[in-house]
Amino acid sequence: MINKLKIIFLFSLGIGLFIACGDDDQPVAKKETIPDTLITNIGPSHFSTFEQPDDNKLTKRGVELGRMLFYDPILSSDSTISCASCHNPQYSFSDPRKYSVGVNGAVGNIQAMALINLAWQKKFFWNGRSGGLEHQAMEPIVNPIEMHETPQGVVAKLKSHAKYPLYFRSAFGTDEISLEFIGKALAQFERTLISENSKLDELVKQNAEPSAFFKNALEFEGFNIFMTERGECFHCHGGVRTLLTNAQLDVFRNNGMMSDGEQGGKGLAEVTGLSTDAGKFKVPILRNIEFSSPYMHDGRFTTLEEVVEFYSSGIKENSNIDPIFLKNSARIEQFGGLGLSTREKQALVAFLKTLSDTSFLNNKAFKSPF
Amino acid sequence: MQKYLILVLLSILFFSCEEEETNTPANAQISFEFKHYFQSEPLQIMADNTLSYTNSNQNNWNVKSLKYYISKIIIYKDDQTSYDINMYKFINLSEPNAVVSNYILKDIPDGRYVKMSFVFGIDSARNVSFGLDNTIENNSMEWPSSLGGGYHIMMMDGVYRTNQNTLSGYGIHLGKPGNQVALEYPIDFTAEKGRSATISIQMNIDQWFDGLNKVDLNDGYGYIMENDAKQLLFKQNAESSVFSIVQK
Repeated sequence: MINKLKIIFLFSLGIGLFIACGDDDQPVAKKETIPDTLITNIGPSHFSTFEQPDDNKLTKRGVELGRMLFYDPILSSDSTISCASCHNPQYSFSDPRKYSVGVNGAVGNIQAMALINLAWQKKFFWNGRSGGLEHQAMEPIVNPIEMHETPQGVVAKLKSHAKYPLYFRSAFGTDEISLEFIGKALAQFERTLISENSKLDELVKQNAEPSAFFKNALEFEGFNIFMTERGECFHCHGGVRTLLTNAQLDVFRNNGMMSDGEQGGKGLAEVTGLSTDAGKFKVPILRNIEFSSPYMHDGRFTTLEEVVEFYSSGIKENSNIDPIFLKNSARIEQFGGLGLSTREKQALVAFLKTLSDTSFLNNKAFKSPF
Repeated sequence: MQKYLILVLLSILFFSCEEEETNTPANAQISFEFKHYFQSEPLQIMADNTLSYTNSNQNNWNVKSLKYYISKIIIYKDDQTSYDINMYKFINLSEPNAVVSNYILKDIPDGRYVKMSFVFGIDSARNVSFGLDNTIENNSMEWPSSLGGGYHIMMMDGVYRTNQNTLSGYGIHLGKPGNQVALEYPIDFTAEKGRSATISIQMNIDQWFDGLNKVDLNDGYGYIMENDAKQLLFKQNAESSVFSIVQK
């Protein structure tokens, strides 16, 4: 009797332990298979902090799976196109072509964005239609002019693959393979694509005075044009710290690139439906901009000199142009833009190159595992 | 047997995680609201170029975005002791439907408070390059190091119609270190457990252009970050009539 009671007591205690603290409840059955290798120290100390999504914390196996998927053409319908086909690490994970080419030679209609320091960003695509990296990562797989695959098709291929079922189980503790898990793994890998070794990083790491830090006069002049109302660049691209992560408060801006009604110029308005958002596009990260030509959402410029010339003399006034540009209306009337001198243009390009980080391009952890 | 049953019950009680409800009243607190008016009407942030306002110089203008800092809200007792938790608050009205949360000054020590003060902008101790927390919001307000560093006090951007009948932009970007404005107002609040009050800090937008100094936007208010004289005009307006408070 006593033994029976002991058993009842221990059983009840076990139940009590099991059901207590519902908020902290863990999926016990899965716990053993989830690797205890959470990556928490991501991002250098001179960056602002970012939060990993609760349902997709970085793990070593998750990142490794994401890296394989990123470079594996298995994700596309005819197994010819991988993420890396259009986000090439050599070009800072962007595409040197104006528009990327998908399955069956389908040509895209927008420039592939560089993938750098995405962990700090919250809105994706030039028009911001995706509010999360996991979501963003899934779209190209099923986009008919990109990988042109179906969720069922890609899942079937991965399930019948010799190794992927094991990798998914190892990363997520489940035998399920779905588009959502593919998105999660890709997002984990993409969050590790961190660039932190440009010259401008050194300025912040050293907490140095720019006037003392820049040994190159042209770079310093460019820094001052960028960071003051002479160039006004910082009001959209951000000051020093924002430049490093591209974590921005005002993400979408109309920079006078498009006339009213110009084809392909809707931008954010495609998502919000607001006419006042037409012509607003995501402000792109300027890190490694030297390596991610061509520029703008339609890849219209191939050199940084052309981009700077656009801001100097090519602004098109339109209904939604950012007020920052309208401040410049007298200069726009006179010069078509900032009206920069030759020296000022050279200085801006020189400064933009201080955001280059070749260690990012050459990082073996970011390269193909195959 | 009873012994075990009691243990079972105790174990369930012990491991249950109901948070205990306490009826102890919270310490005294003041909730600070941030309100914005144009001649007593709530400020309208415009997404388009509709010109909603007119000033005494007959400029037609609007506000498309307004961002600023309030720091160092301090309350003072009549014996001059003060309660200062070194706070700062970023107020962001960069789109028409932006909502500004209140700042709640908590755990106010008991006593009768008769005065409050705050700084428009970031107080000088923290108004240095990277002086604030490394957040997206603060980084978006950086004041260029070549102009003294620290943070913008305020960015108010919009458009107006020029004398030549064209649309132009203006940008009241204040921030030169030393241009922060310290303001103080009488209040009457007796702090004790369970008591709270609401104080509205109001920015009267019309007073930026129609305060002590009258502003004609045609005189060039596109680029004023490096213009000490124009920074001063707005500093003086901030000191005189831009702000008011209402204790509720």
